[in-house]
Order: sequence, then structure tokens, then C-alpha cells
Amino acid sequence: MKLSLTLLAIATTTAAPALDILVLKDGRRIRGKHLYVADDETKIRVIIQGKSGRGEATQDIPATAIDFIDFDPLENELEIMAAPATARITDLRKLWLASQRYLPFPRSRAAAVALTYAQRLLNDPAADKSLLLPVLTRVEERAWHPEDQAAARVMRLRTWLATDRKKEAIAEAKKLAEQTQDPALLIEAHHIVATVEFEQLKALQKKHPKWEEDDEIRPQRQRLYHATIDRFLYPYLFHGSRENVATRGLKSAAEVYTFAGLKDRATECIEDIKNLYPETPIASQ
Amino acid sequence: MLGGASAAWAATGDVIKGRGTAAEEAKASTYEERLEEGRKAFLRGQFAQAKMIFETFIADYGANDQVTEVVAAVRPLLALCLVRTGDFPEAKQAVDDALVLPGLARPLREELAFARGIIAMQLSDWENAQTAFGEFYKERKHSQWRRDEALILFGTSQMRAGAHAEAAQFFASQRDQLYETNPAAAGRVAVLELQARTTAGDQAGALALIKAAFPRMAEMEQLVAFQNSVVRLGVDFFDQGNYYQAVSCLQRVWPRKRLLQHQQEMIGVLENRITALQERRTQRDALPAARASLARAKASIAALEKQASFDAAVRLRLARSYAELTRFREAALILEGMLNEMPADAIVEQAAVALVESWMQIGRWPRAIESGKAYETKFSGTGLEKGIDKVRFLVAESYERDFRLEEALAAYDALADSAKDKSFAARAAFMSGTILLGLDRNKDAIRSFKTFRATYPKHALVEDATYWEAMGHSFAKAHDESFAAAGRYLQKYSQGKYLAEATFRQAFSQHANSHYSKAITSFESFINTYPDTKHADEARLLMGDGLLAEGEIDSGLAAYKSIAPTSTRFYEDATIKTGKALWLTERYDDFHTHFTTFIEKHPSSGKIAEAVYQLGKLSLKQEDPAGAREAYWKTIRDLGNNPDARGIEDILTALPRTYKTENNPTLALTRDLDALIAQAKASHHRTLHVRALWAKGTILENRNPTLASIALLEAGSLADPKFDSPRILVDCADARLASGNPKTATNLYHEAKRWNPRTPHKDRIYLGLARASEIKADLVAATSYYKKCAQETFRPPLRGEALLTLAKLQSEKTPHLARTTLDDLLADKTIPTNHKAQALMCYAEILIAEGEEKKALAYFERIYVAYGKYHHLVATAYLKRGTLLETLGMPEKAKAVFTECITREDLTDLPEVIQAKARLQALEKSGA
Repeated sequence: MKLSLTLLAIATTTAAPALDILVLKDGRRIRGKHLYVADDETKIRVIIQGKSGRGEATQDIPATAIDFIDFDPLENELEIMAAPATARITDLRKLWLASQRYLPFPRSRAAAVALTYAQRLLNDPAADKSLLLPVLTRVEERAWHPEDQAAARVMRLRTWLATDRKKEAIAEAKKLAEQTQDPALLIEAHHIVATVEFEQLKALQKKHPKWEEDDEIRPQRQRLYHATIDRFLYPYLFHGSRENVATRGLKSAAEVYTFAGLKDRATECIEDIKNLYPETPIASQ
Repeated sequence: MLGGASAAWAATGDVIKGRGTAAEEAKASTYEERLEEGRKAFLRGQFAQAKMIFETFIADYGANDQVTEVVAAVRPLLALCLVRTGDFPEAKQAVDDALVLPGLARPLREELAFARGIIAMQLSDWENAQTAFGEFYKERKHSQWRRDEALILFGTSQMRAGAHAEAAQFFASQRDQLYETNPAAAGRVAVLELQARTTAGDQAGALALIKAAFPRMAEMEQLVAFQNSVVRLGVDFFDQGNYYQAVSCLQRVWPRKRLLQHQQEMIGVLENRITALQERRTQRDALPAARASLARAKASIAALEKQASFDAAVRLRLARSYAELTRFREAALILEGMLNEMPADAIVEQAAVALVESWMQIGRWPRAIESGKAYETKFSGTGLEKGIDKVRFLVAESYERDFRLEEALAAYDALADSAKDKSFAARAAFMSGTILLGLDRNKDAIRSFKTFRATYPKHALVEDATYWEAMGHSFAKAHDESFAAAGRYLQKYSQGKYLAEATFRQAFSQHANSHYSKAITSFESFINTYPDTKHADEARLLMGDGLLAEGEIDSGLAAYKSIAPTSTRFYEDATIKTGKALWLTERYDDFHTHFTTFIEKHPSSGKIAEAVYQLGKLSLKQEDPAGAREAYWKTIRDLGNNPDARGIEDILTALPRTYKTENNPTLALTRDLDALIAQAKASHHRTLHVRALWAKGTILENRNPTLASIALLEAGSLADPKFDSPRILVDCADARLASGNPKTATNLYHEAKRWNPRTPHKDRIYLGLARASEIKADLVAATSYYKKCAQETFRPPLRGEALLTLAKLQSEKTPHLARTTLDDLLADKTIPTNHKAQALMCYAEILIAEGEEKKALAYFERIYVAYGKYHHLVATAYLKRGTLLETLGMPEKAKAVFTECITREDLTDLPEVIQAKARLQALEKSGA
């Protein structure tokens, strides 16, 4: 990013937020009419309205001095984010472009905008998926909250899956599963790997209908089969109080068992859902 | 609970300051000083001292009308001091008296009203406590935090009074409202409600509460207490056999580390809150509640820090719940997490043993072995390894169940020697014997069982060892010994569990030793005694053999006939043997009927070809060669389109012997096959069409390779790998490869294996795939397939070819591996000599490439010394050895080699010999 402060200011004037409150680490609060983020994100230029309502003052604040910013909503932000499923993708994109530079600043809502925009792109079959990855990468790298970074990482894996980059998705998910301590991320990583492995299992059995008799294929099939179920059961066994992901995993495990012809085992998983998570949407299905 | 001392004092201050009249000034200075002293003591929290001062003051001035107002102001403070010093009966009266004093300031009234409830609780007067707290709560002017406190203590009093169900109901009615206004108090209510419900036996309600409160657990100050109650309820459910409910509880328990971290954070928040409250005079009223919260949070941490095995205990119980639900995978995954993540302690050790067992329950042998190794790594030498012998035994058993018999044997042997627990040592020693039998090391097995019996004469497995010793002798074909050992078993265990087997084994030994008469009697007795055992049909077959050997043909045939068709192997053997007996006794009509019926009734039998052959033999015997041929063709026409009739391929390949009488047998057969092909094609009998084409290709392979190839390629294009014989598929793939189509050949090889993973032609498939890969210059795949072929095959020529080609592939980049491969080839006595001679040549060339020329000399020499019949190789070996000697500066020896080469009559005119002559002349000319 090589834009100067001036250029950035010109580029963003139309959608710049108004009346944001910068809360500094020393307790001072600065009410800014316009905020401009330096291209290297090391400082923020604040345009402060003169006291009598006339004239403006400019102040540069180092990013390190900022505790958080109470952002005023951007133009149309509240309407768009109130009903993201029906919002137009172009409006979401505009909102994202206007808010993306605030990603690193605590309490910024830019990541939420980005993830909503990305989800819409992912869900829309007609959408240009190539727009997704740069958005997600930016959130992963710059978002102030680790949960947003993690969510972007998971969505990147889902994007890869949706765009036939399964190998990359599974490699990355496996890496994540080994490295991360974040339960939500770990659960998603396991689920993604298991989903892909289940597909591989189905493909393997289709290719080798007599796998049980095949000394070479049988170990591969068994490894895939067990690994898939083990991973699907991960949230249920280790984060069992996260009901939605636990039941999602149990349901998927039941599908694997059904595919393997083990209906009793599949029934057990369904029984688990009924007994332990009767209130969940999956239980009602 | 009584935290508002300063506020109370403030409320009395004005009264004391505005005391009395000037007339009493001198005396007042004395009581003023005393009251000031009492005030300070009260504020410092020295309530005993304050109490003494206030009591003395009232004793001295209580009757003094001039200070009535001051005395009235002191009485509430004294009452509060009495509460603080624990003088509850006295405090009760003092508080009641103080509360009726006129003009009592609001803070004091609140303090005293609250104290009334506290006193009642202290005096175990639960009813009055509830009344006091209830009245206190009703007064909306009272501070909110204390009203919330009164609410909690109201319910607590109910619990103390034994009304747990009512208390639970009361808490439940207040909880949601409290979450809105005072989450910390709501958390405490949840803790108490859980205790109340558990004590009242309302487990369902308790579980519902846990689920409801779980999302807000992070707001609880007494989270540890709540979680402990959850664990206790989980354990109760487990003990009652309600495993799902146990799981529901236990999966909502946080790990100890997270709990400690949460409590530490809570302490930080509370300390900050207290500091802030201290700084803000107007909110000091909330200080006591905040301090009480801090104390509770600290107590929670202290309690948890004492529970070092908290996580392990919870997770082990969770895993056991799953195990009780026969969900061993789930149990194992939880236990595996414990083994990997938790520090070694007694509970984790117990979990690790259960882990190995759980994997075994679902047949995941490699994981059981892996977990056993992880156990060793974690616990060996720690003093915690209580279950090590059991784990080692389970690992050995897992090896055995995973068919890794050598590893199983090593594991059992090691345990038999090292186990501290002798019961495991004994079982391992016995199992070693059974594994040795599995490895076909029968003599070692027998020794092992004998040693076992001698070492553990009273062990329960001695019976088993005695029986299996007899079996070991039988497997080793030492039938006298087997008979004697089985006899020892029968003598010692007349009601033993192997009674039938040992009885059969004795009869079997007699039969194997050709003691037919005795054997027949024994088998007859066995069949009568054990007609439905697994050995009964084998006994009938062997008895039939014995009877025939003794010349009792009809009895023998009757014995064969008594075998059930469901015993396929014995039934088919008996069928063929019956036929042979009928032939030998010249009962040809019966013979014909016998095999015709067999073919009709069992078209899918593997013995069909044999049966048809027998029918053909009968026709030839009756000088009816056309009849013999017709027998073959009839079966082909009747069953040829049935893919399950696997014997048809054998009949087709046996056809040539029925055409021997023809002038041109091949032509005649080809003509008939072509007719069959046309007929099958016209009638869309695909299977028969493929089989006929394949038969034509196979029969013409040597006589007319071009026509053979065309037939096989056509068969390949029509073949359906799902149904057709792998033998046909592999021949067709070989034809594709030979015709320069490695890609389509590869596809067909893969399809053949895909639909027939256990085909005996797997070695040919690997060889074909290796060759195809080599043609496609995929040397990595080629190397892998050659290795698989060599490993898989039972055909020595194929193994020889695979190893030789593999070595050649390896020789360029990995000559050391190539030499190992050639060593394997040369050590295999079954491999044909032409491959061995080529292997020596290859070996010598590798050595030369590695600069080991002198060593190479010996390999060339071995070729012409030991493999003389391979002329070309022999001549090459002479030439190469001679040339190498020249290079090494040994011309005389070189001349001798060349001379020997050119003087061998069997090599005359070979190009290598001509070259040897030239070299010899050149050497002589140069005078070397």
C-alpha cells in the first residue's frame, strides 16, 4: 500500500464516517468528523470540527495510542447489515470498500462487513468467486479480533472447497487442526477435512467395489473411514456443549455409517442427537 | 452480610454530636470521649471492644434522661456489635428493641432488618429467617444489592430447613429476573438451585438447570462450586446407569485450566470493581457485596487447586459412560485425548489401559498397538505403570488379530519373560505356542506347549496346551505322536472342552498312518457321537477313503453320499472320489449318471471341468471320441454364458485333447470355436462370446500368434470386468500390451484387479502393470509393480523375471538396491536357472560400474561354469571376463579365458566367440 494520506483522503471522502469517537489509551476521547487511515496503518488523521461549528482542526494520532474507536455507522451500513441475506452484493461490496481500512482498529465492524460480503459471494452461484479470496486474506491479516481472523480462515477453506481447490483446502485444514488452539477454528478444520475425506471415501469405494477383498485398498479405505468418523465426532466429544456443531458432526458421522452399511451405528448417532440435543434444529429434522 | 457499619455509624453521628445541654458539659466530655473510642473501634471492625464500650455506656447512662437521645442512638450500634461478635440470642433482642426505636435512620433500619434474618439463621430459626428476609425484600427502599442478598438467603434458609424442593422452585422463579439485574447473584442462585435440586432428588430438573445455566456460566463467581455440582450429578447418573444424562453433565464441565483462568480473571474484575467502589463515595454501599464476591471467587480457586486430577477424573468418567453405551470409538477418542494431553498420573494410567481395550473392542488393531506404545513411553519407569503387563498382552493380541504374527510372537515372548504379573506371563507363554502354530513352526510350538505345562502345571490353560500340542504333532505330520498326545488329553480331560476335536484327531492320525480298519471304527464312533460337529463331514469323507482302501466299496460310497452338499469342499471331493470308485469298479452307467447329475445340479462348482473331463474319458473308453467331444461342447453350450460357471474356462482350454483324432486338430477346433463365436454373437451371449474368443486366442497363441492376438483383443473389447474371469481379463490385457497399447492394457489390468482383488492372477496383473509403466517411462511405478509382483507371486519364473527386471531398473541410480534384489533372486532356489545366469551377468556389470572389477570377474566365471546351457550368456561371460582381465593388466589370464571360450564346441560360431578369437590373436600378436 503506497497511497499517501492525501490521496487516501480524496479517495474516501464520499463514504468517510462522521462523528467517530477515538478513545485513546490515556483516557482521552477525540470526536472526529472524518478519519483517514495512513497507508501503512500506523496513524490516523482526525478532522475535528471547530468548537464554534466553524473551521476544522487536524490531528494525527499514532495507531499505537488508540485504545478503540466507537465508529459511527457508515452510509447504509445499518440497513444492509440488518438484512444481509437480502442486501445487494454490490451494496455489500461498497460497504466493504469503505470500511476495509478500519480493520485493524478495535471495535471496527469492517470484518463483519467483509465476512457477510464473502458469505454472499460464496452462496451466490453466479457471483465471481475470485473476489472472495482477497477479501478474506485481508481480514485474516488485518482484522483486530482473532475470532474474525479465524472466521475468515475458515471461509477461505470453504471457498477452496467450493472452487475445486480441495487439495489446498484439506492440506490447510489439516495444518490448522494440528496448530490451532482456537476451539471454533479447530472444529471447523476437522469438519472440513472430514467432509473432504468422506468424499474421498465414497470415491474410493466406487472405484474399488470389492475393497474388502483387496489387501492394498482395504487399509486405505479403513484409514479414510475411521479418520472421517473420528473427525466428525470431534466437536461432539470435545466440545459437546456447542450443540449445533456437535449435532452437525453426529449427523455427518451417521451418514458415514449409513454409507458403510452400519445402520445400527448410524442409529446410535441419531439417538445421541435425540437424547443429548433435543432442542437443536437437527434433532427436529 | 452485615457490611454497612460505616453507613450505620454515619446515621447515628448527628444524634451523638447534637447531644445534651451545657449543664452536663463536664460529664459529657467523659462519655463523649468514650463514645468516640467506641466509634473508632466500631469503624475499625473491633466489634468486641465497641460492644464493651457501648454496653458500659448504656449501663452508666441508660437511665439518664438527659442523654436519652444519645442512648437511643447507641442501642442500634450495640445490637450490630452483638451480631458481629456472634452473641446471637442477645443480639436478637437488641435488634428487635432497636427496630422499634422512634426516628431510626433508614440505613440503620435496613442494617438491623437484615441482621434480623442473619440472627435467625444463626439460631437455626429457619422460619423466622425466611420471614425476616422476605420482609426485608419487600421493602423496595432497601438497597438493591441487599434485597438480592435477602432473596438468596431466603432460599438458603428454605434449604437449611430441609425444604429443598421449595427452595429450588423459589430460586427458579427468581433466576431469570436476576440475570437481567444482577448476573452475579443469578449465578449464585443457579449454584444453590442446583444443590437444592440435587438434594431433593430432582435430577431431571437439575440437568435442565445445568443446560439452561451453561451459556451464562462465565458470569458465575462460584463457577467451581457449580461445576463440582455438575460433576457430582454426572457421577450420580453414571452410577445409576443413566449414561446419556451422565454425558450431558460431564460434557458441560470445563477443563481445570480454563476454570482456573476464568476464576483468576473474575478475581481481577472484582478487585478492580472494589478499587473503583472505594474511590466513589456514593457507591460504597455496594462494597460489602463486592468483597463477599471476591472472597467466594478466591475460595473457588483454592478448592480447585486442591483437585489436581479434576480433568482426568471427569474425562475418564465421560469415556466410561460411552463405553457403557457400547460406544467404544467415542470412549477411545476421549481416552486418547487424555493420554496425549494430560500429565502422567494414576487416573491417566488407568485411562490408557482402557484406551487400548477400547480400540480392540472395535477392531482397530493398529490404533491399539499405537496406544500401547504410547503407554510405554508415558508410564514406563514412572512407578505408575500398574497396568503395563496387561497393556503388553493386549498389544501382542492386537498384533495377532492384525495378522502380524511375527510381531505378536515377539511381543508374547517378551511378556512371558518379563511380566511381573505371573498370570500375564503364563497367558503370554501359552499364546506364543499358538502363534508358532500359525507360523507353521510346529516343532517350536510343541516345545512351547510342553514348557508351558511344566512351568505352570496348575494353570487353566494347561488343558488347551495339551490339546494344541497334539494338533502341533498333527500339523507336523507326526501322526503317532499326535495320536499319543490326543490320547493323553482324552485321558486327563474326559469331559474336556476339546473332547470331540481330540477324538477326531486320534481317528485322523490312524487314517494318516494307513491304519484304516482302526480309523474306520474311530470315525464311525466319532460320527455317531458327534454327528453335527464341524469335523463330522470330514470324518465321513475320510471314513469313505478308508473303506475304499479296505475294499469295502459300497460302504465307502455310502459314506461319501452321507456328506451334506453344504460342506462344499468335502462334498465336491467326495463327488470326484465317488466317480473314481465307480470307474474302478467299472460301473460306467452309474459313473455317467453320477457326473451328469453333478454338472446339472452344481453348474457353479469349481469341479465342473473335472466332471466333464471324466465324462469325456468315459466316451473315449467306449471308443466314442465324438461323444467325448460332445460332452465338452454340451457343457460349454449349456453353461458357457453363465458367468458364475467358473469351470468353463478350464473346459475350453481342455478342448484340444478331444480333437487329437482329427487330421488337423487345430484347424478343426478353430473352425468349431469360430462357429461358437458366431453363434454367441448372434444370440447376444456376451459372456460366452468373450469366453470363446479368449479360448481361440489361448489355443492359437503358439500356433498362430497374429490370429490369437486378434481374438484376444476382440475379447478384451467385449469383456466386462465385473463379470468375466480375471484369467480372461489378464490375457486380454497382455495382448493389448503386446500390441503396443500400454494405456488400454493398464486400464484392463486395473479393472481386473478392481473386480477381483484376490485373484490368483494378481502377480500377472502386477507384472503387466510394471511392463506398461516401463513402456510409459514411469520408472517409479514400474519399480513398485515389479516389487509387488515378486512379493505376490507363487510362480518362480514370474518372480525371477520381476526381480531381474527390477534389478536392472535399480542398477542405474540405486546399485546397492539392485544388488540386494539380485541377492534375493540368487538365494531363491525355485527361480529358474536362466534368470539366475542373467542375474549374475547383471551383478557383474553393476560391480564394474561401481569400480569393483576384480569382484566382477568371479561373477562372469560363475556363469560359464554353472550355467553352460545358456550358450549366448556363456559366450558373453567369457568375452567380458577376458576383456576385463586385459583391462586389469592380466593378459596371460585373459588369453586363458579366450582360449577356453573358443575351444568350447557348444559355442562355435557365436558372435562373442568370434570376438574372443580376435582378442586372443591381438594379445598374442602384441606379445603380451
